[in-house]
Amino acid sequence: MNCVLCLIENDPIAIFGLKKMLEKTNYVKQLEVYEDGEQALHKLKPHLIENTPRTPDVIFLDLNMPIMDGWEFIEAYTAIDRPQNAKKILLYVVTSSVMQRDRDRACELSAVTGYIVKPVTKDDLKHVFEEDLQELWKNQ
Amino acid sequence: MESLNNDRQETDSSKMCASEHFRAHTLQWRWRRTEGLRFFQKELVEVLKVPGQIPHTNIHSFKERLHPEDAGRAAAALVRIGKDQQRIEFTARFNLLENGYCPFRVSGMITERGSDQQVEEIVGIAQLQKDGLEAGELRRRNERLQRMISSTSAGYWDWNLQTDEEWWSPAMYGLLGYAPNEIRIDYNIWINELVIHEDREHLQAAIGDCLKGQSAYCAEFRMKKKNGTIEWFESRGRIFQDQESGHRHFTGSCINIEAHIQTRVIRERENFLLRETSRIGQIGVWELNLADEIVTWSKEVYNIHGVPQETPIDFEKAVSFYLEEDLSVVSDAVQRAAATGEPFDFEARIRTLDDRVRWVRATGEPIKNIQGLVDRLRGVFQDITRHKEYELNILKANRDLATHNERLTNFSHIVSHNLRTHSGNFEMILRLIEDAEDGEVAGYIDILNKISNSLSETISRLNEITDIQNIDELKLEPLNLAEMVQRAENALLGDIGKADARIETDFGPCESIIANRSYLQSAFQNLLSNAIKYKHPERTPHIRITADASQNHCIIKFEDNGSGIDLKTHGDKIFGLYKVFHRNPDAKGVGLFMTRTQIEAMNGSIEVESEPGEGSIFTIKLPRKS
Repeated sequence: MNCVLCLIENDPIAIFGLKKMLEKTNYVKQLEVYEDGEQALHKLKPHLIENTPRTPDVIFLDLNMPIMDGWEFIEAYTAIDRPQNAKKILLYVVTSSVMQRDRDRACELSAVTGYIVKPVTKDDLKHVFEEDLQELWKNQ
Repeated sequence: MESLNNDRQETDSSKMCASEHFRAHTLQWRWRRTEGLRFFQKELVEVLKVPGQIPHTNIHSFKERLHPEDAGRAAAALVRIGKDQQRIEFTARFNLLENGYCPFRVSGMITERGSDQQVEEIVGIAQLQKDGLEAGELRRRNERLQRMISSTSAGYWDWNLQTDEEWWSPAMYGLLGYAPNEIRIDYNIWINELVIHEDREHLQAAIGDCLKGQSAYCAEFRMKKKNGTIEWFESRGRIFQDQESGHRHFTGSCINIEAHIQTRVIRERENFLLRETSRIGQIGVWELNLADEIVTWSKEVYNIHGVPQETPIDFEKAVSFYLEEDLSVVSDAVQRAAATGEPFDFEARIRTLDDRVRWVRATGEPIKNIQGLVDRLRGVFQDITRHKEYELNILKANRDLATHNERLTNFSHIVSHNLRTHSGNFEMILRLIEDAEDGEVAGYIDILNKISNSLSETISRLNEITDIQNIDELKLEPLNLAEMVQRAENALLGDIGKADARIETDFGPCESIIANRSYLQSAFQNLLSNAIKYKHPERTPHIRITADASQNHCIIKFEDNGSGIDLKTHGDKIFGLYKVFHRNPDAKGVGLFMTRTQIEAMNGSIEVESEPGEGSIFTIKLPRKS
């Protein structure tokens, strides 16, 4: 698949694990990893304002990160003024938090497509890339 | 002349004497032109039993004793006797002083005439009209007595000590709910069947004392009434000797005092209640006279102020006991009450004469004089220190609990989140192993070891934190500030040298501080280490540690010229667990959380001010007394 995935995550083991899982699939053509929200925002911003080859189709966002956590990232990300023709992006909160409070808070945000509790499973990936993403592409 | 007169008197007396009976109700009189009117007192005293005197008197004072309505008739009779009448006869009322007016039939005849037919002497009798007295005055007196007796609702009794007969008045029976003569009464029946057992002994003693002539009889005791109820009675009596029979009588009255006893019991209970509540509740009464501003205090109010009883107090003096912070509450309330009549009820602190601070509650309301003007304020004054301290302690405990609870909740979320991070990682790697080819597995085992190590690290760090929060009795001791800072510096000697950091101290008046040694050292070391770790990339670190003292606290500041923190973004999270605001690889997000927990465990607080690019100031506040 011709998909760009952006992973915003500061736990090296989680990054390693996800990379390994993705290697066994062919969902992702290109993986971009950022270790905290601020870094991600800073580096992603040009590709959000303009459609480029690095503009992600899917973002996996951890909540608990230094400098700028997931919540702050969503706030800043939502505030970016993207053009009409900008590529639609699916944003998933990927976290070890099982608290209902966090899940409710995430699902109330319009920018958030889904909430995935760690560890990410093959089924999670299948759901994201074979269902949600296919659905999005079909409509475009 | 004297003897002649006496003789004549004897003769006259014998002339007038008739029977004993007649004598008993008459008195003799004689009028002589030369001597005036004369009564014979002996008979008068005997007949009328009048202790007072009718003196040998002239006609003038005799007239004075006449009833005014009868004076004319008597005078007319006196005029006629000299002229055309040989005899005189009229009825008139005479004032016998203590007995009041009594009707007498007065009659007399001329017994001697002079040579010129002038009347020289009249002799006569005055007969008490017994019927008139009994039917009139006696009846009236009797009725008056009866009215008095019935209005007292008292019963009367009479015990003939010679015959042992006992008589009760109808009201006496009525007191016990019986009809007159419904039951037979004698002393034994009364004392054994009507008087209740518990009161018999003291009653018999009281009667015995009276019969022996030692005292008048007066006793309170309980009797059983016809309907079975038991009520209180009071009986009084004394010994009389019957004039005619010579018998000794024990005579007296009895009244029901049940209501009186009830009120007495209630009053005693109320007195007790008032006395005890005043004492236990430390409640007193005060009054302020608005005209002269003199204040009256009850005993308790003096005690609460620690002021000797009877010390003169005026308004200014009374108000001077209040703490300055609370003074406006007091004077506002009093002034408003005096001006508008609005009652008040306030709580404030006073400093007693012996220099203790007490919480008091005072109520007050205006009191009007007869003219309807407010001239006094009066109210209740209570020492509520214990309640107030209790209340304040509870409020504080509540706040502490809420804070603690919130922190515990956060902490449990953090713990669960962290443990889940590791368990998630374990799960993920294990799944990868399932699908792994043989060559890959060794690499995964390596990773599992890493996860296991960081899990252990996390758990031991969480243990450290719970240890701080769980210590009940933290050992606090005076610590020398310079020494504590020096220890922190020694521990970080390598980092300080590498960064070429300059550390400056100024502890001013606060040489020592009461704290826990290891917590304070850990806090100092962490703050100092942060100041070096997060130095500004273009400046060598310069750290200034200062101390100052307020009334209740020691304040220690750590000022640095480091890279600073954007508090607008991170303000509320800087002391949170696992919050990291730098990309520095040494940042674990534990240090400041630990520092805050340790400072708070010592009842202190820590705050931060910072400007990105300029530096940070951490301020620790610790109580001066443990």
